[in-house]
Amino acid sequence: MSEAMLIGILAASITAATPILYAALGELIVELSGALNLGIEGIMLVGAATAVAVTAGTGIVLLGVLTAILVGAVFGLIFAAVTISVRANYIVSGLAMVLLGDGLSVFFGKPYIGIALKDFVGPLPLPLLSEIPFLGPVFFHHNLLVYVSYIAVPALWWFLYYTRQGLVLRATGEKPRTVDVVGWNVVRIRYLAIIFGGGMAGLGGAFLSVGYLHSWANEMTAGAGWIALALVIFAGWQPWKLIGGAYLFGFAYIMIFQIQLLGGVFSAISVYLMQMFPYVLAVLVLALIGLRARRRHVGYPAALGLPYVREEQT
Amino acid sequence: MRWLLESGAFVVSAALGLFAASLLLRATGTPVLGTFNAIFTGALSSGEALQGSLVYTVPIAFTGLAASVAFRAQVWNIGAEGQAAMGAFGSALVALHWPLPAGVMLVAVIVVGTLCGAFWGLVPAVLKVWLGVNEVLSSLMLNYVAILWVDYLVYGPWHDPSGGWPYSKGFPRTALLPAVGSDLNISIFIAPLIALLISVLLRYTRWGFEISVVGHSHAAAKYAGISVARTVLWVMLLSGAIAGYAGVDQVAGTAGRLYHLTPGYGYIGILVSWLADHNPLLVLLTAFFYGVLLQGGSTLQMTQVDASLVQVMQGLIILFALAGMTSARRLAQRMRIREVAS
Repeated sequence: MSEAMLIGILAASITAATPILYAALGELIVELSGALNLGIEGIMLVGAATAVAVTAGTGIVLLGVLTAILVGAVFGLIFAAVTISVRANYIVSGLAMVLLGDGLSVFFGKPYIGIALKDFVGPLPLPLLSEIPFLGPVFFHHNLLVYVSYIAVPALWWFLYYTRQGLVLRATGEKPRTVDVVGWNVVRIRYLAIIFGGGMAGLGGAFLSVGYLHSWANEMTAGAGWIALALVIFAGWQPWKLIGGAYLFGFAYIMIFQIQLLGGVFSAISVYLMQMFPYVLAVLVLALIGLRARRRHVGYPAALGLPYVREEQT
Repeated sequence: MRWLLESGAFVVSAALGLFAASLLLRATGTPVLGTFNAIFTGALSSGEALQGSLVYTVPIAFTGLAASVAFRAQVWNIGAEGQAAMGAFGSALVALHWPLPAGVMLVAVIVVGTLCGAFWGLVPAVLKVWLGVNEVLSSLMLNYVAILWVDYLVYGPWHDPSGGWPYSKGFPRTALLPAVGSDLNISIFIAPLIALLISVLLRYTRWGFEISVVGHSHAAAKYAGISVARTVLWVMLLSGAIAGYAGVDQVAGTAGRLYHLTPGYGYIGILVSWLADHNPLLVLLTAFFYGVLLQGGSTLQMTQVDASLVQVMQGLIILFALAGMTSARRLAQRMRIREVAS
């Protein structure tokens, strides 16, 4: 394989991984606060469709992306209200959200199926950095939203481990009663976390449609939201491992098509069988974590998925 | 009393959901009453329409029953979609490749299909029991694997060369489920039977009791000498088997061939089971409700109103039902506590 080809594959992996990365970063915050949003697949779809619709309608990509984030945040708010305030079953709520998001996205995306967008987030090679041999073209020859994701990871890491709010957030996922006793509002923290997660999922979806594929197709996220969920677990709820895992999955996606090009025995393997690879990888990853966890504590938030009810004794 | 509250809550929530959907319809300029009328007529107004609704109801009833079994034990089987796909694969394997005499063929088609579904349910169960893997994620990922497997077959080796669409050759007549009426098959009788069996199982047998205990508390089960691991494994086997039959019904009953299987029935089954509070007999009812919605939706498509609107309506109704019925159930619970306390 030539160097140019390798660079191409790695760069494409990063682009393919970015939607999942955004969604996973958002879900990371949600899970660290102790909640669990299973609806991000639906929110990503709505974000993608919204971005396309608004961009095509107004011609302004930035507006499309921002609207997608807003819509994602609103969906997050709805999910938070249903699971935290009404305390409905979060799995069923998540599935309902996916159903709703899927339906809404199909409905709003209909006029744009199969159309190549004229306006999208254009490539933005960074002036000096993209000149660096090998690393330059791989990391710095993308569009703005990818660069934002580069900043988002250290920013979130800093927030979680170096600010008081981040500490409180993490504590909410471990022992919400303590946080409540100290005086912080557990419900508000979880609401904000879920809204943030929703916005990030919307951003991930928006990137997929107007930043990567420049089009809309029904169910275009193809399970990316679910993989993001697995990714958070795979990363042991740590931001830096998250980015590594995301790029691994991006690499897996890209390799599916690359292997076909390598020809020979590989082109005989059906595209469908190859497409199984990311999902099988996710299951293997989960199994691996299970193996690791049998030997030592894996670091999941202790209060994950458990509703916080003030009146009850924990 | 609780029944009244819950069904009342369901009606109110459904009404709110429909109202929200009508706002959406209004905003997009679609005639509201006309749309609802079309749904109603398309789904319930004639024997033909009713049959159409039932064709949708049957697989959903099976995935709903599969979900109800699993969720009683608090095993979150989200994999019914994939288990149904594997069930379809199993049936097709027999129907298209094993030349068996009539009678035997039918039994084999059903049994192998069901077993494939059971196997697909076993995988996340084993991962859960042995490695503590969250079954929500593992069963979900396996859905995609199963669906892609069927896709591989219908686009590739099993593709019907005479047709342009992704489906297999038609099943031989001996492999088809005996028909009932013009669109239905014997599954319409099997569904209530299974529902009854499960209901009896859960309420009157020791195994059903063990399932309930495991569902309430793993610790309590352990103290009672119940093996949580064994219960989880058997529950998933059963759940996967029932979901597998949903696939069998679709390919050996309705379609008569293997085809690209993602109508989302697996996920709908979960919603339907929840609405029924995981009561197997009520699942039949909620599944029918959904079948009506889907049949209404497909008629809509013919009148050029977007079918995705129906999906949005479903989502809205479910969401409102979630909020409404959860509140109603908690209210009922609080009322019961007050009753006991006084």
